[in-house]
Amino acid sequence: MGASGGAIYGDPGLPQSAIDAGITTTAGYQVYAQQQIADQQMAAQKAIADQQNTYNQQQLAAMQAQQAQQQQAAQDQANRQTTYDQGRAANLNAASQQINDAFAAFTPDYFNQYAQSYTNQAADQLAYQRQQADRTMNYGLARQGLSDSQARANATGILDETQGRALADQIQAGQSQAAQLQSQVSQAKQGLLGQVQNAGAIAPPIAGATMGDVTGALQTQNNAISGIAGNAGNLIASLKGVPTVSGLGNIFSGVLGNLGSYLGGAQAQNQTNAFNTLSGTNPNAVR
Amino acid sequence: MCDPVVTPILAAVSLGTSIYGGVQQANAQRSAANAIAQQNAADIAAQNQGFTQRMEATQAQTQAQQQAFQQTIANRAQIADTMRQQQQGAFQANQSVLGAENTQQEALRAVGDQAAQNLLSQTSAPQLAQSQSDYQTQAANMLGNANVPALTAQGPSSGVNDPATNAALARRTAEAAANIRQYGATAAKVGSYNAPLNLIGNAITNTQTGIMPAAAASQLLQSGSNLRLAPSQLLWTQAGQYGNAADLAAQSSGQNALQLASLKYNNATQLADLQQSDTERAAQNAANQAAANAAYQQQMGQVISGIGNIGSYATGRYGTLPGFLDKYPNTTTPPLPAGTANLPAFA
Repeated sequence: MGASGGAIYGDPGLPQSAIDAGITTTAGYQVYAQQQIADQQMAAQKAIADQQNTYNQQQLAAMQAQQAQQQQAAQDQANRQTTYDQGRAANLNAASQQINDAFAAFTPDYFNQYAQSYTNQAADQLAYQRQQADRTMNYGLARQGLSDSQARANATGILDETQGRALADQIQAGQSQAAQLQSQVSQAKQGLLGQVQNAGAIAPPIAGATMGDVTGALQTQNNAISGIAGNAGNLIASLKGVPTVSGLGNIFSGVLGNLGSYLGGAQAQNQTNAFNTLSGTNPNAVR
Repeated sequence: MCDPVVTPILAAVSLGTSIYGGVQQANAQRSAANAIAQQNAADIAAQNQGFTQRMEATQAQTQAQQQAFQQTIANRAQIADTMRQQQQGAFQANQSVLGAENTQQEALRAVGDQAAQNLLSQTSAPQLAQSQSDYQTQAANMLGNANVPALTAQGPSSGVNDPATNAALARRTAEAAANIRQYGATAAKVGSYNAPLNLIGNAITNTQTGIMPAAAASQLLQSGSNLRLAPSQLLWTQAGQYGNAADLAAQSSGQNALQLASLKYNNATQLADLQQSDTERAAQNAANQAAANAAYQQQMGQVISGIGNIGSYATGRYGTLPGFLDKYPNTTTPPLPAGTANLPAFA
């Protein structure tokens, strides 16, 4: 029976589906069936290929998205690291500048002036002692009537030399202390900057996970560094102390002692001469 | 014995029958030949059709393979180009980061170089000698400027009116001034030996201090370099990974296209084979059927011819046919072989 219900005559053994398709011959049925199977195979194979392609595209898209995420994360981390490093360097430079500004007063002229001040103070002490020594000498000579004498010239020369030599020694001491102070200042400056650098080095080397973390870390570091740099003023105040000359002692005591001995001898001679004059035995008494 | 009228008629009929049988045999042989010719023609047609179909399938497969291969090559080339572009971009980004870091490092290094040059110039032999000379000059100046009576060329001491004493004082003071200056110069010379050492020490310390920020910045730059280079290095790796994956996908797609083409070819050739086989089998069947029919017809022709021959024999031998024997019992004609009485009747 055909699809329309009418009788159809065909080869025996044909399936009803072929008859329904209007096929009456075995050859036609075989071709028809073969074509059907071929179409099904092609459709199945194409479906497999399409699914494979779809799967591949999905995996590629997922891979691309994952790579983009990784790339973004790496780029963000790199940007944060650059911001962090630049911020740390900026903090260090700012602290360094702050320290440099604080130490700006320590110029070569400053240390020359320091030596000069030291010398002036020593010279003042020496001048004061010289004044006392001159008076002692003058009184002693006057008492012996030797104000106008070679002895005065000799004593004055010795006092001059003693004062000058002592001053020359103090100039050396002043220059030495100035050099020592210059070295201390240089080392103090380096020490401060070293502390700043160490404070910066203590910070974690890798930037934080967010830009906020980076900003916070930089601020914390800046606070620490500012504290260290701020101490530069205290350190400088201690380095700027007025040069102090230790007590020089009485540098003219030896000279005056020697002069006293001389004057004592002169006095004894005068007394002897006076006795001899009175007794008439010394007509060449020295006056 | 023989009917003079009937006998010729019978002879003619027998002859006609015999001739008819012969014609039938000839027709059968011709039908068999025609059937073979038709089978051959059908076979040739089927072979030509099948061959053409297979050739077309082969051409279609070749074109499909070529198209698939070209498409695959084009896709892979595009993927490779994209991968190389991305890798080139990654390489340039890497170089850019390195270049920027090198530029910064160069600037920092320049600070160090300048500091080193300054250190060398500050501590050169002339500078060291100059420091010694400056030290002595400074000492001489301070000594000269100090309030030492012998050095300030003051007049005769107050209260001294004796010219001889004043002259003695002047001589002794001048001698003292010379001694002081000599001693001061000697002392300054001794002290000046430390001046170069102090100069060197301070120059070294100041140089170290001066380059510390640049050195720290250099350290920072180096420590963060890996992280700054990471994106470009990652991009390079990712481009390669994605390129390889996309290339595999393109190969897979191309392979699928080739498989489809192969399947289509196989189906087409199998269908062509089937159609050819069916046609050949149908031609073979038709030829076999025609040969069978021709054999049947040939046999029938032989029978008919035999009957005609028998009739002719009988007519010649007895002048009559078997039916006449019954009508004419007195005849001397011998009886017919057994079975001949059951011959079929012909229309």
